[in-house]
Amino acid sequence: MNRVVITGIGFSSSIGTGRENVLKSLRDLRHGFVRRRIADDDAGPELVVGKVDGFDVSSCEYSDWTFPGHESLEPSFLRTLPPHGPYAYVALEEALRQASLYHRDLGDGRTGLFCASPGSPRMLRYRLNRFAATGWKRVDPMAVVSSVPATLNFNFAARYGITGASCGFVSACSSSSHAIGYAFDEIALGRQDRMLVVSAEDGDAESLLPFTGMRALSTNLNPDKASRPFDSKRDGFVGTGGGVALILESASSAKSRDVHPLAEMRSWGQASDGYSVAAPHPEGKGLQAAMENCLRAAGTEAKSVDWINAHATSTPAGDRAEAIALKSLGYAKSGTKTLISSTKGLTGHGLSYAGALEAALCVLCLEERIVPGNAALVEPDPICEGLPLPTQTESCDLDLVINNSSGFGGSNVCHLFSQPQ
Amino acid sequence: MPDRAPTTEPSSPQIPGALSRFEEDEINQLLRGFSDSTIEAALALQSGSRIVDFEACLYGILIFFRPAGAQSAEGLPSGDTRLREDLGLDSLSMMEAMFKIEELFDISISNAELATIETIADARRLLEEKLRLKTSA
Repeated sequence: MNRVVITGIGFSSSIGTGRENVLKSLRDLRHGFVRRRIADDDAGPELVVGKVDGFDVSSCEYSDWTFPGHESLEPSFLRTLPPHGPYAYVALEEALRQASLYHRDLGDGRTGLFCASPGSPRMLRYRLNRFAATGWKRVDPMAVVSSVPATLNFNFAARYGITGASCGFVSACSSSSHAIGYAFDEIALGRQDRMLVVSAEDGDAESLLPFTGMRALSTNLNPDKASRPFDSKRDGFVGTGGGVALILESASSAKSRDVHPLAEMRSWGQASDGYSVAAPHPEGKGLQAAMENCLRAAGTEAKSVDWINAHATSTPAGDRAEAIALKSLGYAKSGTKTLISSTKGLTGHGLSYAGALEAALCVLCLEERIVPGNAALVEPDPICEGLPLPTQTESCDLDLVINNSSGFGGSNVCHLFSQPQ
Repeated sequence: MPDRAPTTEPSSPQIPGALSRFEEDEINQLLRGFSDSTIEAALALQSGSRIVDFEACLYGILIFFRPAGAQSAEGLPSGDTRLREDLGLDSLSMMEAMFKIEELFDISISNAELATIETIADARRLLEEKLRLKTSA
């Protein structure tokens, strides 16, 4: 099995675009939330949502978009993108720069691309409305490729001339964690030398408002308190759009290119609840199994882990299930060194892009040897008793880090990262 | 390939302003991101029907949808400029261009008709025929 390292990360997130802005937000516990009405007619419910500064991709017409560097991009690229395409593009360009990879390097057949996008419900709605307005006579030829869930891998495989593996992953809020997991396998099994993993979300009315039906969104209108994972007063998640990219590479490939790895990915694991279409298993059994599978694959004990970036989204049921799963692995025992926090208290919940965002945050924290605090956590839920939940960002000798993700249908994924060996 | 209008001599195809149903700002909105010469030609088609404006408008639309990296023949465009060989349009970019032309002129182009279009003049003649049929209907 080839060892797998991370050589590049890139962010277009609610807590910053670019590594340095994100790092500052993590250190200062600065969230990326605003209070607003996100429906077009301004009549929808008021919510706290994540805002990605420097981007305006609210229109379905690409010529209206503004984002870093948009002036230099040709219409032939932009017009087939979904609204979250610019988030993904800016993040991927940052990750490629950090990994010292150029477009000419990516068409070698040894470089693959795994993406996670839910598609763009907004773009699909827009195109269908215009189709209907013509009496169902004319629909934009790019209606499909700019709106279906595989839109990112369609667009970026073409843009970057990828001739290796390319695929899109759909498992709701664990989608991009699956993309990272299977990218790890591609390299570990020697099928590819490096994998670009890219994920993004629109984070708009069409993506978020349907969650009001199951009362999953926070109704707290205070941006400082709406997203509060593990807190006893949590009442739902704060949604956000954004994009992230990671470059996974075999250790030998990175060495041959004289690129210093940011971190190593040691293993991953997955398991399903087999319980509900949307609710988590009440005792987090699937997530517990995913963590156990991940640790077993790495030959590592649970107690060796220094930090767990929890999936905890700030929903009552989800955080409770994860807390029980964490306790089942012994993380509430006295003397445990493992710190637990959820960066969603800062970023909000990026849905399908959350897992990769949090994986990239794990890599950044390994580099900087910090553990972000649980933002807005004031009074931990009693179910969390014994779990070490820091409320401030701490500097520490960080080595082993877990990233948890859970999605609808009881799909659970766990990654294990470490300092580069 | 320079971004300028073809040089075909103007004539009068006896079609009233093909884009007269639009206000100026609607044309600007429909052609956002297109070249100034394309928009100017479209605005001219609000009240007139010169061949030179049809061809300039079509040329601007076709050029806009060329795929990234498309290779083009040297020289000024004309009615004889071939869409695939000279402008580098592929099947998908042809679809995009036809969609925009259909949307702008409120016509429908069938697959069989699309297959007959080889040059800018072919596209212009088909468009004129469609518009005449609409006018006489």
